[in-house]
Amino acid sequence: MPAIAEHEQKFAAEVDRVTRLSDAAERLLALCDEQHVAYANQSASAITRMRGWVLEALGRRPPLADATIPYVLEELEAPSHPYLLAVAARCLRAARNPHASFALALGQAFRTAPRLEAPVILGAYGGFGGGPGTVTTSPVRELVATIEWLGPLAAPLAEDIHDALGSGSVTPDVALALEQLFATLPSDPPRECCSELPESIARFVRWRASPQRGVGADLDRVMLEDHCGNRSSFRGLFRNGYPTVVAFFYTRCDNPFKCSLTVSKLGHVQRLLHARGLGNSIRTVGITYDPEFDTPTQLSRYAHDRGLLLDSRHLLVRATAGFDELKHHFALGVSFFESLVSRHRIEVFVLDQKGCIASTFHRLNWSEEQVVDQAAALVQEKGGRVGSMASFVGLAALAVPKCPVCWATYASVLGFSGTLAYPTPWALQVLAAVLLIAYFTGMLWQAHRTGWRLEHAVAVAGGVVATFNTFVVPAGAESAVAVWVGAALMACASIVSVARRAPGSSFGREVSASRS
Amino acid sequence: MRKNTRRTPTTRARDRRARASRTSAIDKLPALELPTGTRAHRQALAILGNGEETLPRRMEALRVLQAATFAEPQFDAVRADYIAALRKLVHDPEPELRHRALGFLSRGHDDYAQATLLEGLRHPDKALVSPGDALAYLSYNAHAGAQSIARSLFKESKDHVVREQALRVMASDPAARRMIRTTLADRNEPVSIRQMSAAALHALDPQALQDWAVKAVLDKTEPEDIVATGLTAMNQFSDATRISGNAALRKRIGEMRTKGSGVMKRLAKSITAKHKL
Amino acid sequence: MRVEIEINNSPLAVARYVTWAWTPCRIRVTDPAGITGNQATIRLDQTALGGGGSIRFANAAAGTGAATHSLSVPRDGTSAAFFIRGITASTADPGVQITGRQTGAAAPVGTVSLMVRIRKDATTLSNGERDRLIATLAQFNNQGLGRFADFAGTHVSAGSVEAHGRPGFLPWHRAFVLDLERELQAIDPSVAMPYWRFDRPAPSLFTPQFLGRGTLNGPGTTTVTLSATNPLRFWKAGPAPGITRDPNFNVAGAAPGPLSQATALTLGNPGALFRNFRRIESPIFPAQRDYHGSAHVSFSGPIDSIPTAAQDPLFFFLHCNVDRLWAVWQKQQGRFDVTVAAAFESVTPPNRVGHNLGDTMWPWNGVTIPPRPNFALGGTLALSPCVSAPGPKPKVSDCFDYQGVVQLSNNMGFSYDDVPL
Repeated sequence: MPAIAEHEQKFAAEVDRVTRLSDAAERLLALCDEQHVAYANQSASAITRMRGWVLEALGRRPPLADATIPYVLEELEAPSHPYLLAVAARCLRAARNPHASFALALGQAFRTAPRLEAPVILGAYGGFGGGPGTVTTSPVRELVATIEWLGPLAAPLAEDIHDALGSGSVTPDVALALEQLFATLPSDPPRECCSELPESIARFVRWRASPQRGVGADLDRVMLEDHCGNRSSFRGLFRNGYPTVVAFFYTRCDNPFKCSLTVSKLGHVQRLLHARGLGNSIRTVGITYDPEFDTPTQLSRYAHDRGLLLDSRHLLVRATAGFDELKHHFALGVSFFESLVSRHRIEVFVLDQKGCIASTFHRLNWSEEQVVDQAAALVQEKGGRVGSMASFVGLAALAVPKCPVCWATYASVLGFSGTLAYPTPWALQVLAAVLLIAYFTGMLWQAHRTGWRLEHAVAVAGGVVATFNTFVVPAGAESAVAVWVGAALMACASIVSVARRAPGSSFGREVSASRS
Repeated sequence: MRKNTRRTPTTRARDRRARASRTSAIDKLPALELPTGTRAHRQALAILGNGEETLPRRMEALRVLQAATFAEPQFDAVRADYIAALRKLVHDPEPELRHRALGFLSRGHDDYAQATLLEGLRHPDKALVSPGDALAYLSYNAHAGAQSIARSLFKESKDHVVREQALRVMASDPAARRMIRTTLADRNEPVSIRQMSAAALHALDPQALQDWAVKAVLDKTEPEDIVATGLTAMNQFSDATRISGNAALRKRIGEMRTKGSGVMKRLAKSITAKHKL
Repeated sequence: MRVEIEINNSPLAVARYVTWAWTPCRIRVTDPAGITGNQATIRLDQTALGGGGSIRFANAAAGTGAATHSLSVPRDGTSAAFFIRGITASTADPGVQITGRQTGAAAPVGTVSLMVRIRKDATTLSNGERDRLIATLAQFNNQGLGRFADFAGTHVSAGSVEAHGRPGFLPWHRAFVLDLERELQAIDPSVAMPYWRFDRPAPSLFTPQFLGRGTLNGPGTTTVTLSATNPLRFWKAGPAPGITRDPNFNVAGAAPGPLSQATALTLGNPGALFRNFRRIESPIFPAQRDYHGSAHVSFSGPIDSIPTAAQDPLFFFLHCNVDRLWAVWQKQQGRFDVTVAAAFESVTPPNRVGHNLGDTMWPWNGVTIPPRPNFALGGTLALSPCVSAPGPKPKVSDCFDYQGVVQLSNNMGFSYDDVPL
């Protein structure tokens, strides 16, 4: 028997101590967090043993709290280790009640378990050993027991059970249990599981970030390099007017149900976006947890193997600087052993046009359709805001003086307010540049004709401010305030110009005199 | 100057004894009389786990069982018992069985085997196999947690097998990149270690290896095996302009076509033809 | 007068590769100068070039063919069809030149060079064939960054149920080896996947110049010795570089575990049934010897375990031989037609998905919904410029008539040196 490392011995003892406390469930739940300091710089194997011990402790204190169930389901949906799988299967039976949604995760685990099958000693740290109070079991045995516990709710698993019985891949006693269970299941099982978790559990899995989690100055350190070797800042990549679906992964992940599946699903998200006509409005970015190893070449190959589209809007990137800041900003559920990822959860984010986290899907299997819906809603929301703004500005134009030049100014104001909301594909930028040149030319010609006046200077200043913000300041760093200041200056210039031309004004008198 | 860590008379004698022991163990494996179906699996497991059985019979039982793993799902029914038997074999007095079991378990990323091997590296008195073999088994899983101990052993050990296997583990460790580059450039290192460093650097930083390869080929004082390694790396994996765009390199390859050993001449001619120099 | 000759009915040079199977060709006049009348009679001869080999001609895809052929070719440029097939294999490219001459004239009016590209016993490869093969393998691996990683990443535990333990084992591995072979041919069209005849001695395979030398009866920790110029020394298919493999037998002799070919071929009896023959996959008790599984465990190293076996290039040599055995059995028993019940193992209720004749095979079908694995690396099966079968998403049934015996269009573009048409 291999000896247990000192750190793990202390950890196991602490778990045993905490288990006897009245608030054990909360304390043990905190230990499930990947970012817990106990897991820092521990190898993947050590963390497996540590997490398994925590789950074992939780399973011994029924009923299992709803907040804990996602951690258990995670091990069933992404099974990669016999000890954790067996523990999770047993732990689930400590839940208050079986639920139909558990069948999906159990089905995944049941199909995978035969190839992970190994003896597991429950009650002994790490799953091997022995002694009083220990139980010898295996992933398949625990899963079968949990499927039995699920009772009629296990109906969607009928085909898997039938396949297992027909293939001879289970021991005689397990086969007997499966036969008895199979006999109790409806003869016409539903084709699909009820995949919706009850809200009491689901709320721990999906959340919408608070508005305060914006893009802070700490992210200025973050530099990202994409699969082609192009570099940009965090703001440059994410604060550019596009909502973005962001997923974290790394190419050396050895759990096919985590990173490999995440990137494949990101590819599916891309296809859904294109099908909905949103492929140019919403970006997808995969960020690696393993920036030192995952070079651009590695990223490209990984993407290509999994059907992920890569272009200027859809990227795989690594952080060449500021990964810690990135980790903090996204509150990533990942731990490391030196530079290698030792444990991570599944995590996908939807960022809004300003790079702020709008929603998160983590730990459990996420729906590509749901993620696309979340991102699409941001596009529509922004479009709605722009529409409202444009309508307000349009209405306000009714109340101000008008002349042909003024109308041109109002159109400019509307146009520049639109730059805040809409992406500016290069063609629009060229058109805008042409219009600006025409604007400045017209203004300068007028000034030359009539002599420089205050309104000309104000109009030019307004144009310069708005132009500078939109076309000179790097993408993502534009200031909405500057746009409105520029528009306001141009509006003022217009008003002053008209006021001068009013018959009662001194300028108006001059004009009348020159005409007569 | 580092001591020559190639095989000494002591290590050669040790290797000879080990090989003789292994050869006698498995030269003639007897046929076992087993029933049909999964009962055969169980009986083979019983033979394997029985220390009273002869080594050849136990080896044959192990061979049959491992061959049977290629026919999932029928084997799935006994997989847990097989893993249990292998874990027990890890501590068997017979070295051949220990090695086979550790190999099968390590390739399956078995946590028990990995923990046992790591313990043996940290506490040599508990080691079940040599450090070089332990590192070889641990190299199957980048997440086994062997990177830091591999770096330590590489620095401290005089055993070239240990250092070679440590390099293989370090090939998945970006933190070891500089150490690998230094080793590759170190003329005092044995050729085999430098060659394994080249493979390790190739895995971590292909561009750095190509840069080294150019220098090695142009350096007429480098041993021929090292030059050949560099040329092979360039010929296989370099982009064409790196070779054809380097006048000194072209000249050197041209010289190699007429001077040097037959192997070098053939390699130089192959590169010339491939890159149309 | 000039004519253009197309092999595999394609003008592409990469299509000029033939096997033992009948290959459709065509010839047409490109310059009619000197032709009197509406057509010209062209005589086709063959000449062995540096790569060697020989072919036969015929009007139709049947019979034994002849060493030369004459046919009428319309003056107006319309193509005239004929067929060729390989008789002896080439060792390099090009191997055979077809020359067309107008009857009665000595000057050639058109030529085309081709190669009779055959899967051979790895021990019979020339040094040139060997070196081209390993250079191509190494390039495809590209120190772990190449597309070989898709193959190693497919033959793992999570995907093994698609390929093992059920009737689809042989068709699946036939497609797997073919996929790799075509990827290699995309780099160097002259290579064909050789096989390791593991029931016979194959010492030249396990040398530093070829697949490397391990330690006899070593523990399975030896990184094989490779010559300094062998590009496989940069091989990487798992976390660590190098190929680890120790023989559990003296490679001067045959691997002792696997059944002999003669015995393995009798496994289908009585009745030459596929459902019995496919037991070559794993040990059969009480004989406890098989053909395939025992070959895997005749070495210690990644090759001896399903999750890691495909990391070792030897895996493909091994499975090429398993496939060859199936081809031998098919030839002996006439089992190319999947509509014949004995040719496969169709059952009611059906086998698990992926193991029925009408099922597409993972990973090439790209299906990642349960019960299929949730990943599918590498995309569709590589296409060939020479043949269209078995298609990018092959079904199990597409992998039987590999030489187009039942239907010419089923030709998958490979043949074995010792399995005639």
